[in-house]
Amino acid sequence: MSTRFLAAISLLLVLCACSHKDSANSQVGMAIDSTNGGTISGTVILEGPCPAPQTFLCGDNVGCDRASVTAQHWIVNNGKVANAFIYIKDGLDNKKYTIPTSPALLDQRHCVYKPHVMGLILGQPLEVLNSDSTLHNVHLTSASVGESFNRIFPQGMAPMSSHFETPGIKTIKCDVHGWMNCYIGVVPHPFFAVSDSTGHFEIKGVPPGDYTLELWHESTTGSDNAVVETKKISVKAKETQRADFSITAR
Amino acid sequence: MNASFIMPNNSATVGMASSNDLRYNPWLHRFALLTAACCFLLLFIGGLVTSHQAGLSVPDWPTSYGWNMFTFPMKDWIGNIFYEHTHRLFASFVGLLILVQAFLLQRYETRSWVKRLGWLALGGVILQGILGGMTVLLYLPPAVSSAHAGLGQAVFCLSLAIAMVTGKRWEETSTKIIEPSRFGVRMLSLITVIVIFTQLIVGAWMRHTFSGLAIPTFPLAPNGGLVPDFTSFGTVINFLHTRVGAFLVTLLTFTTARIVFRYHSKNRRLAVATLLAMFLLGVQITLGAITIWTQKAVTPTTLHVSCGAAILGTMTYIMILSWHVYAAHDAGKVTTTAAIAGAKA
Repeated sequence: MSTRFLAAISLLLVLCACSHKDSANSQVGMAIDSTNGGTISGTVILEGPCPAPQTFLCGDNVGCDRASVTAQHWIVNNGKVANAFIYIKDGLDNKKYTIPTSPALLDQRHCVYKPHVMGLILGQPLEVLNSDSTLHNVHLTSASVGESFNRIFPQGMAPMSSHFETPGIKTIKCDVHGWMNCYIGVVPHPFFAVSDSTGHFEIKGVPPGDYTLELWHESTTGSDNAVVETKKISVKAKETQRADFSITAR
Repeated sequence: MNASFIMPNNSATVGMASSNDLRYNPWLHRFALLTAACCFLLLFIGGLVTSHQAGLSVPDWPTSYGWNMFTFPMKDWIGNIFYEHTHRLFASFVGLLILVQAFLLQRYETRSWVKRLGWLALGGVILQGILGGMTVLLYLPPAVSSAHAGLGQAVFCLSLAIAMVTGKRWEETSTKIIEPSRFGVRMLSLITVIVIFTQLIVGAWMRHTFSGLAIPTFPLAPNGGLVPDFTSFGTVINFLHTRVGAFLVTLLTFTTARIVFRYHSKNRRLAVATLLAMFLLGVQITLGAITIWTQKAVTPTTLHVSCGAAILGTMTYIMILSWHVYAAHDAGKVTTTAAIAGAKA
């Protein structure tokens, strides 16, 4: 009797463990058909004054091949803001998306990161390059415990591969060249965009539905005190939905 | 040990070491002075590392970009690596000085407690090196970085103490003067040193949690009052350092000065050191204000850190000197000591 009872309990525990694993997998849900997807399009506009550009002298950093660098905090052209990261924050629960196997590239060229802001799908590989003839360090700061790293990256070293296991805005900086930093928005889906030099962004193939759209833009002090704006939006099949953001610099 | 008694003005004295018991070794003292000076310079260089946010510019430790620290090519000392790598090399040099000092004290010093001070300083600097490495490998956690900053100050004070006790004047002090008041310069300077050290730890914590501008205005808070709106932990730690701590240190330093100039103005060394402490305090408050007004510009910020160390060092000097020169205000003890000495004579 007791043997059967123990066996039943064991079976129950195994089933629980399996179902827990399944539920973990179901966090990403089922694959979706985005052929009927709509488009979210908009412009990021700056309200109020733009922070004065900050210039750093490269000085003795010969390998940078440039005399100075202008901080990329606020790139604003005719009131339109570049480098804002816009993504769907809520409304895509239990959807599954194919994770690209090809890596997203982040280059260190002339002592700046290119691109300055980029997006990644959770699990997508990231490849960091060093096109400079000088050394850098690649210092990732993440709010997730255990995800941060700080690695040496001398000139001529093979590309460095990495990936993220948690979503969020990640900061990468080079502590050798204090002005060098960039941001990677990691989200569990492909519905994100970075505003271009005209402030324009476009997210295509969005499944019809109601969503919360979020904008993130760094402040003059980096990711601290970043500008975050949200907007409710309803996307219809094969239609373009407008979502402009007006933000204030800080 | 012979005993001598002096009754200058309004003070009583009790016996100490005689002049024929001198153990002064000029080269040992000079070496200790050099070590203390280098410790101070190392604090300045460490301050530069934090001011430039260069602490992680060399990600590996104890190697530097895979090289042995001492063979890392100079052509690669670029950008912020210059500050971090220079800090590591100079710290190694200071570690070597303290190691040699410990052996010299063991060999030439006769007082066992001074020998122990030398070994204690060595232990401190080894632990300091390990903390420095740990904070790099753990990506500058505030607790480890603040401990590194605090221990650096402690090792500096220890080196200063060794320089003092190996000096010629230390042995020349053959009498102890009874303090005229119960709460005298000895106790005041001790409390002041503790408060200054705590203030430096709070400052280090503020610095390593990037809370230096959590209250971006000085002397008034952004709300126009003396007390800011406590919207974050950074505001609290900033307020503790820039307002509460600064006020306490000022109050205690001036109270100590008042006692010194009232009762001990004839002690030239004590008076000069007290004047220096007051001058440095004025410079320090000015540098702190400039640090805020310039949004933590590198030069005033680093000078502020160094001046803090200088104030701690000066007050440590005052404290050690006071405890060496003066005896506690205790009528019973004076009578007893004098009676014993008188009986021996």
